[in-house]
Amino acid sequence: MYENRLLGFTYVTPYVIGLLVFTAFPFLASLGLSFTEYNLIDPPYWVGLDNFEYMFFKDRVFWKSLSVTLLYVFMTVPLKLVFALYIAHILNFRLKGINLFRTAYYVPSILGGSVAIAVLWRYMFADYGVINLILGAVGIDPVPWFGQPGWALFTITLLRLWQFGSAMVIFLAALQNVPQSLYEAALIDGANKWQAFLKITVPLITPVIFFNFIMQLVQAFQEFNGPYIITGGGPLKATYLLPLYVYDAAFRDFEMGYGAALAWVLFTIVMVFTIIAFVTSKYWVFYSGDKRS
Amino acid sequence: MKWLPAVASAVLAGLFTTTVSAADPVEIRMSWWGGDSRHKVTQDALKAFEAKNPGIKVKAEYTGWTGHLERITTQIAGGTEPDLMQINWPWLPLFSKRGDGFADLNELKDVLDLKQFSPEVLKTATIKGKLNGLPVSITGRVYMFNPVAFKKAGLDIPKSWDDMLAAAPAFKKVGADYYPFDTTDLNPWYAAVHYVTQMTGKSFIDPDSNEIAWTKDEVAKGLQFYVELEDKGVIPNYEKSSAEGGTKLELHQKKAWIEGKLGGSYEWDSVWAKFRDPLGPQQDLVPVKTLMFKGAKSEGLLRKPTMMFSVSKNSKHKKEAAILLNYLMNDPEAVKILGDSRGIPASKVAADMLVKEGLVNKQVAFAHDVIMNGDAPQLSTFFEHPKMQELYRSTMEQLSYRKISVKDAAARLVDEGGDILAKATR
Repeated sequence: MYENRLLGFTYVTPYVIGLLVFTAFPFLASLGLSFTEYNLIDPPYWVGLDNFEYMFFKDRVFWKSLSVTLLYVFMTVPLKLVFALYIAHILNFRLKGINLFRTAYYVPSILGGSVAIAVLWRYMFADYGVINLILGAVGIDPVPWFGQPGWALFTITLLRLWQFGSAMVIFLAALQNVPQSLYEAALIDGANKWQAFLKITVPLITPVIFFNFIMQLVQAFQEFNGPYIITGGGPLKATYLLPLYVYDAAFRDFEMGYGAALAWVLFTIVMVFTIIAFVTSKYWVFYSGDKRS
Repeated sequence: MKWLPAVASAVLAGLFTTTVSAADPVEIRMSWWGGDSRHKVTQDALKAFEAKNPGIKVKAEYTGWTGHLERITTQIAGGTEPDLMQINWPWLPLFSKRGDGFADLNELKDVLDLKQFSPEVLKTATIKGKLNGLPVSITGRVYMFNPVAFKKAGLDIPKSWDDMLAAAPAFKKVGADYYPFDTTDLNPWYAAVHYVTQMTGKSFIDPDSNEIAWTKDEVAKGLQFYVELEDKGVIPNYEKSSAEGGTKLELHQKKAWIEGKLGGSYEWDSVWAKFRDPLGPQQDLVPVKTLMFKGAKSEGLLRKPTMMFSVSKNSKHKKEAAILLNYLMNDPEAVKILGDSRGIPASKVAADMLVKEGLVNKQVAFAHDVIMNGDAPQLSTFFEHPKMQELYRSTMEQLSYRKISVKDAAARLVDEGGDILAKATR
């Protein structure tokens, strides 16, 4: 019995070492660094809460960046979930060649986070890009996608929406687990398609909606590639999401302490939203075998 | 938190240290960034050096530009930097605030011929009396124009700012998106800086005290000039220019530039080819003598070293590194191999040789003459500090979108710029 346990520990050792060295240590070190001033060259210098004081009370850029981040998250997450669920619903029909469509719709999320797609996005939405050409063909004036703050954020949002594939696949799996008999029973009782969807499908897949919601929330807060490559955070910091600011503070300004402080604030915000989601989940997430109806 | 850098450097040292055998030839490491052509000629020069100096072996570490600063910073933080490093001039205050970040090259004079470099050039790399690096080449901002674009508007390329202002209506007649001049990214700021430098004869940041040298009124005059350029249609505004493909698209990548819809720009002379090449054989890009503003006190050029070579203060082979550095900068053999792969050399013997052998493009040589023979107040190393650049960029952007008045923008540049400098020089 004891030997077995030892063997078990041996097996997990590589993972534990990796966790300690590459996750736990940097995680805690960054918390420590957030109370210092550290430029990588000179030793860190303890400044207590100065970084946070500056961030909350003096740093214009932080508040702008935070509001842009929240706007971005609250636009992308619900839209993406609805869109993913809608496409998953369609792909759940028994059609000829459905697997081809399922693959086709999944492809963007494999490509979406990549640098190449971000560069492509930049060319598509440029002044002389294909989007404005198409708009021009139907008689709409060219839109300054990257020129105006509002449009720029919208363009970045679109890139994220377009990568709905992974959420969609999970929804699709959940939809296929909804017993067909329930729909048949509802049909006999005279429910229409929409009622069946709202009263049967949605409640039965709430655990999956919940899961996707948390995943999308966390990922949206961490978005970096798109705005970094496409807009560089501009114009007027309209797409300057917090992860960009963390990066700039640490690797452009070499203020590792301030970068760490920003990262911890971002972490706390994500944490708070996740906890809220978990606490409220008991009111809207239903697991099978649940007594509530 | 004292243990943190120790642990970090121990980890990094473990990762990066290569085993150095104690065998006879001394091995030194040299690093640089660049493109393929620079990589190739530098490696060739190193081979020739090893043939000439059998006692020294050189290990080359070269990369592209992106990420090089992070790489060097990590190496220096871990004490594992190469013996000889190519360092960007604006990085100097990041690594050597008090002048003790790199080896003092004055102490290596026996093997390093410093007489090939003018005192003014050496001063740009000297901090608190210590020579932190040897500037490889000197660059400066030069006005460059596309004569084909001006011909379309029925004009010759401008000889003064008045010509430029007068050209705007003629360009508008050709098309709504035609402009005689362009300002992308930091260029609007550089144009404003040039204006005020000509008016005051002073540089924005005092190179000795590293404090802002201009008054708010002086800065405001430069910004007002920029606003006038926008209003009169001499330059596209930020909205127009970022709509073309985000703020990250560089001028030479822009369709409007390539198609000759923009008449010219104000760029470092060393990057002339980058802007010239996309114009193709049908068009051209001509550097001109510095445009003068009415009432100018001086030419007010922006002139600075492009990059330098520094020797690590931790190096065990400083002398060998200096011998290599001297070879690369001053030895005719190396000069011939390296050509203008790092700009026109600051070393006199090297520059003379390149010009004599006809190894330099004529227009580049002309632009370089404009830079070297004009008067330029000394530039502070903090002028291009990353935080200052961010301040210039964000303030000019807000000004261009008219989110801030000229007066407030000037106040912000002076006040916040002062704060950044105070913190950076502390």
